[in-house]
Amino acid sequence: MRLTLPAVPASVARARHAAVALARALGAPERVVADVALAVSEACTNVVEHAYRDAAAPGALHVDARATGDGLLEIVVADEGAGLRTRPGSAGLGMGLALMAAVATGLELGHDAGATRVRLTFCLRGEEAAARDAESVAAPGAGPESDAAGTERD
Amino acid sequence: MAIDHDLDRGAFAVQADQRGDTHRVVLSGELDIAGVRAVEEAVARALDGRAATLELDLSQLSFLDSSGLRAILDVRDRARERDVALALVPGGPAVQRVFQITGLDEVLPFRAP
Repeated sequence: MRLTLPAVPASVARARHAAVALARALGAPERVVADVALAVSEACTNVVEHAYRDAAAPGALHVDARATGDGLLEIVVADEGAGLRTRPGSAGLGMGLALMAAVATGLELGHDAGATRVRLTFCLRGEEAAARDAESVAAPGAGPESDAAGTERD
Repeated sequence: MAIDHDLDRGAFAVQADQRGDTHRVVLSGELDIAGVRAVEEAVARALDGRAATLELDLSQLSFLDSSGLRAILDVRDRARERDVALALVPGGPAVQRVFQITGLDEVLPFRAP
């Protein structure tokens, strides 16, 4: 799945819905689908709020999602803008980043000539999602390798 | 769970009503950055109407992210400024999880579900 949308508020739901549809098509359990929805929403909201703040018109929001060979769903959200910065008077990136880190198996932030790229990965298998929860927040980019049974948070 | 099946539908909507001096604002569908202004406007109207209590009902929300959390924190601050009591009706598991991850479930005045 590859989407290029204008970085405006309405695009956040479009990107989220497309990612949810892909996760379901790949057989992800509903808990993982909910994680995908939340993390994609946060990553896209960062682009809408921060990437083109000094630009005359909203730039592009890129969302690229695919299944990797090893049971992961990889979603890359990217802009062509000014990079990650917080705005005075805004609650900023903190809460969104915390939510992404909590629900994604892997989270990487990258920079390329000012453009910002957020790479999120999710285990498509529910048991691994449970194991991840038991491990609390995984280190960025380091998904859980173990199949050890975890306990659900809730 | 019904709430999860609404993740790819559910346009956001706000409804408001009044019973005595309790003003109720009911949020439904998916609350993200695109819905924040509608929440602010509905709450501002409710607070202008001499409410003693503002009830913010999240039970019909199918999705919430940090934009929604910030909007709800803003509602709390505005209610405090006006000396209006705030009560939150909790959402389903997918919505409450966002409060739990951020620790806000301990801070915000949720009613028992």
